[in-house]
Amino acid sequence: MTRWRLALLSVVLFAGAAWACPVCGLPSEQGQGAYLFMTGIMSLLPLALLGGVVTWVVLRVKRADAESPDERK
Amino acid sequence: MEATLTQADPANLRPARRAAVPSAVLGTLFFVVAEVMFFAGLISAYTISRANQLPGMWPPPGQPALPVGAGAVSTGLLLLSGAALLGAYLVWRRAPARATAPLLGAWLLGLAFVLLQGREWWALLGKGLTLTSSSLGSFFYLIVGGHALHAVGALLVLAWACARQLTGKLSPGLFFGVQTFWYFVVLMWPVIYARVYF
Repeated sequence: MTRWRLALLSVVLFAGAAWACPVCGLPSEQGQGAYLFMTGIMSLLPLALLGGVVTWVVLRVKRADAESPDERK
Repeated sequence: MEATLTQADPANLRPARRAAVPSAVLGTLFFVVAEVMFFAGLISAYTISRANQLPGMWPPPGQPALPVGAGAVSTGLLLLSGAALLGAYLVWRRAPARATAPLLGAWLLGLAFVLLQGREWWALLGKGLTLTSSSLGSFFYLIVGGHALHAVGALLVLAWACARQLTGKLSPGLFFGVQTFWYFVVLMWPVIYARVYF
């Protein structure tokens, strides 16, 4: 039981050295900012690109259908 | 991608399917999405690596500054090439036979961009900026070189489109696909230029 208490105590006391967040370990403020900024870009860019392509295709199909509604079966 | 049952085919009385988005365009678009992510990854690594340099250490000691002026001329040539291709498309919609000159113009401007880039690289290699000389050299040749490879590939397909146009066999699907690829090359470059050269 003492070992568990010691382990728990060490987690509480030394949590700051764990650097669970990869950004926190970077040496400079500028580096942290760049890391956060590029993480945002790399997370959102694929969604924006694929969303843009899918939206464009859907609009094209709708327009094609609207141009010849009476020919649809 | 095809719209559903849009036109009746009198030959066999089956409803024909008409493409709402040409397959060449859709395929190229997915390719372009993948390539944008490829460049985004490289630019991301470059941005973080550069941000972690000590103040005043960029470009790294002993390494030349990148030629901003020549890069601006290259950027202008490539943007003009994109504009010429857009012009070729607008002319081609009304009178396909008259689109040859702007199409060739777009190709020549693209070729001038690649040649100017080659000349820049030659000068930088002479000044000691190589793939292994520093992190600047590694990133520069990887990112700009990757773009140059895409530009050469796009020039080849643009040349193919020009050849088809000269023989009067340029199909809409091929033309749209080539345009998609070339616009990607054109629009990707200013982002790379702004991020890497400054």
